[in-house]
Amino acid sequence: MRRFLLAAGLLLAAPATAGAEEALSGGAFTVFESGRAAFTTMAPALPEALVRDFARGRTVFNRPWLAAPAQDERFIGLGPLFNRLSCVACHPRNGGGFAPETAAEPMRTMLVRLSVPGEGEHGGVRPHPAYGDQLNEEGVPGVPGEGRAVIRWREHDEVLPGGEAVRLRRPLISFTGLAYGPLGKDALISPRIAPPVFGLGLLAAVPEADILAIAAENGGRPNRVWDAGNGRTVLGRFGWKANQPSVLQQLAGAMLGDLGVTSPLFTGQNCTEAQPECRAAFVAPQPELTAGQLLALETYHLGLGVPARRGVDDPSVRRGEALFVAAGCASCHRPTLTTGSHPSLEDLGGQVIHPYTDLLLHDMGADLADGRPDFLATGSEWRTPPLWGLGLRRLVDPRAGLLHDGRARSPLEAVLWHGGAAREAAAAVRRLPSDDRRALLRFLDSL
Amino acid sequence: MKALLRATLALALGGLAPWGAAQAADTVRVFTSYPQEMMDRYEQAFTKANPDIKLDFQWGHGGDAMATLRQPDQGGVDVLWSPALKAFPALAKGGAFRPLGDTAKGIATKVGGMPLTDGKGTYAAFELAGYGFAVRPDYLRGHGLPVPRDWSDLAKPAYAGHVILPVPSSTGFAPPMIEVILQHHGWDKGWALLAEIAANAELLDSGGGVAMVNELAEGTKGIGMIIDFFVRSAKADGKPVTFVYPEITAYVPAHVAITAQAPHAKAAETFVRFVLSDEGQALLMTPEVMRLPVRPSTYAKAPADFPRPFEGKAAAFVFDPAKGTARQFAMTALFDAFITSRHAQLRDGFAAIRKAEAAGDKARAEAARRLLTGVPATEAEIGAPALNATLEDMESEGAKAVKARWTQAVGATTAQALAALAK
Repeated sequence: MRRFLLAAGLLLAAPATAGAEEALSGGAFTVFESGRAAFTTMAPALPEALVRDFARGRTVFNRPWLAAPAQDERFIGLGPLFNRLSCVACHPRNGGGFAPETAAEPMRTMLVRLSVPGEGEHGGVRPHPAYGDQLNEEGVPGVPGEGRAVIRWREHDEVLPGGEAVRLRRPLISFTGLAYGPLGKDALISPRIAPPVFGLGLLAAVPEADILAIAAENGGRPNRVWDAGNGRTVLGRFGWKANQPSVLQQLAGAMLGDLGVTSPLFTGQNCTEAQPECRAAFVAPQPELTAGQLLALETYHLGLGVPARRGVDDPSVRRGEALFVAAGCASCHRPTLTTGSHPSLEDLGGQVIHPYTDLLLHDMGADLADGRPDFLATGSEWRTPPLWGLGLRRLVDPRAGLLHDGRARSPLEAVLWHGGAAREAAAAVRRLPSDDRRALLRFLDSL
Repeated sequence: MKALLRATLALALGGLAPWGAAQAADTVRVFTSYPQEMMDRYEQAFTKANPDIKLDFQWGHGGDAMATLRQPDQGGVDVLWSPALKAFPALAKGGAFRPLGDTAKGIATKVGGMPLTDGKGTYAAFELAGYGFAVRPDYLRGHGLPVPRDWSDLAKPAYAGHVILPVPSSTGFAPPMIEVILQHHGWDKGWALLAEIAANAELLDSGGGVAMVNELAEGTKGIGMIIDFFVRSAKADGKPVTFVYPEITAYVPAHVAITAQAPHAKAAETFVRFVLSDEGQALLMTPEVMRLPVRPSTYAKAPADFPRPFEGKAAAFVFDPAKGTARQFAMTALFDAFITSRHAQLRDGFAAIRKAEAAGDKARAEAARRLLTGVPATEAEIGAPALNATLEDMESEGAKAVKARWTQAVGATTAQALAALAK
């Protein structure tokens, strides 16, 4: 009954115009929220039987974790090393993170990935011998945090045709208080802001064959990554370099990497040989995130709605959309994909969605390169990030940043940093007269 | 690119800060149970105002706070900052805090006649939250229902099927709210009222205030019994809900204190001064927080429709939070036995009672009502410390035996009532 009512509500709420279908960014998993709750709303299409699990998953996502020992057994297992206390700390209101404005600010929704040259297990990164594969700034009592990453900005102005000046900033990363020795000359570092977390189930359901067909057409490259649950190499879909194969593994990886919480998928604590206090720390019963909690967390992510587009039929939005395609942006930021089947949620299948991604890696040029390969992704390749919800990012959190290191504070800044395979598209945008550029940005704001 | 990478990597060698000290000189470790979004709001503002102090949060509920602060070194915690109603007076009694001195100057010590602290100056109120109704106005209009004005309104037949009642054993904010009804109406009448409200309501046993507000936003129910900030925050997010304070309610305080052995006492004092300052109090009114300040002067900045608990006539009812916290384990267990265990029968029973009343069979209705609303334990029994100690661990044999006894007694009277109504 509830589903019928919600489905009826969806039809009533959807704009009854020519652009109605295009507004349904997530197909049946679209929600008509355009305020601060745009990324936290459950999709009406989630089956009734999963609503309770969705709510449990939401609690797991939002609840700060506790260092052992503690009384609330459901959430014990923070650390020994960690970045933040909860998932939501890095994904405010399920949206994207941001970079600190000044060197004095901590990285609240951002972290620094670390590794050394060479291939690690199964072809992935080779973790730093002392620090692992990311800098954990915090430790539970008795375990020193690994140190602090500091970001400073080098700014310059770019003047566009028509005289508009855009201030761009490039991050410079340094470290203070490194507790386990110097990082060393060969350390590879890559600052990353947290991405938004809605719509992941739909992206997981896009058929691999469709993604490979796009690759053959636009020159993008699929990443091939390790699927820890199934013990084989598969297509990568999630993460800034598409280094995670599934929503479940992305979640379990973040729980361990960011919170220090073990799960049935990743059972070992996040301590290296160089961290005796970490290795000796009191730990909670294992795994700290139970199988039930992990599945509930997955259900939460699969069930989150994708916000509908606004103003689809506005003439300037339409013009901007045409300019987006003409500039070549849509070659990688694919407007429309159709989902196939999803292994754990049938309802995600058969949806026409508008994520504006191809889930493929593309060379983005020297300015954005981190020089840190990850499986097949080179140091200058990044996965095309989805653009759905783009116009709501700063409504959900006014600090939200764009690009992997949060350097861009607006879609225009992000476009201007595009290089490599996207150089021509960015150049086309640069050449646009001011009015056309405004129309393009209005279109992006409608996503 | 290579030049940039070399420059970046050069900064990574050795762990030095080439531009000078970006690292905080002092630290303050704050134990809290506030939600992440609220912690972040305060962390950001505090760090901006005090860039030389690193703010570390340790998260846990009241029970963990008490266990941590009772360790010999108080777990290295400097400040307890939490809506843990029971923890502050209990810890203060054991000497866990140091005097606040003038740090809390200008902070209210009473609301509506209710003291906000023990008056001994080792902990201060930080914010207030009030109990009442989450309401979806268009839902009520659509069903021809007036906005309820008092808890007792929710027991009226017209509200049947439209209300959400949280189960206090599984919803953190609910025990004091149930206590407001029990303390205002008295023990027997209070439980009778709760039974009849429950008959009209869906019971919420998971997901807390967020789940309740979401249910209202989805339009499945029109009224929820709740604490205010969940609703005001959701309203700020654009959800079609609003909050209504009933005629009789209570505002419960959250507190802040500095531990007796604070390793960073100076930074701790700076943090406490900040959260109690006009700036720190004004942050309570932001959409992601939506609590009520305890510095009365801060309300000068509040929007016209913001609640003002320190204004208006003296309250006709003064809530006693200590009474509630002392018997919380027994009260919540009794609620489970008296209401949760027979919820469907309560609904059927009251539907039949109302039918009998409408048919003029008042004697039968009254007899059944007495059976359905008779609570199986007295107020004195529920207030006994030994019983509360037994019921603190609901999995213990002692707790199971007590609950089984109550459930059996309630089951018997319920069966009698239903049988009488079926005749």
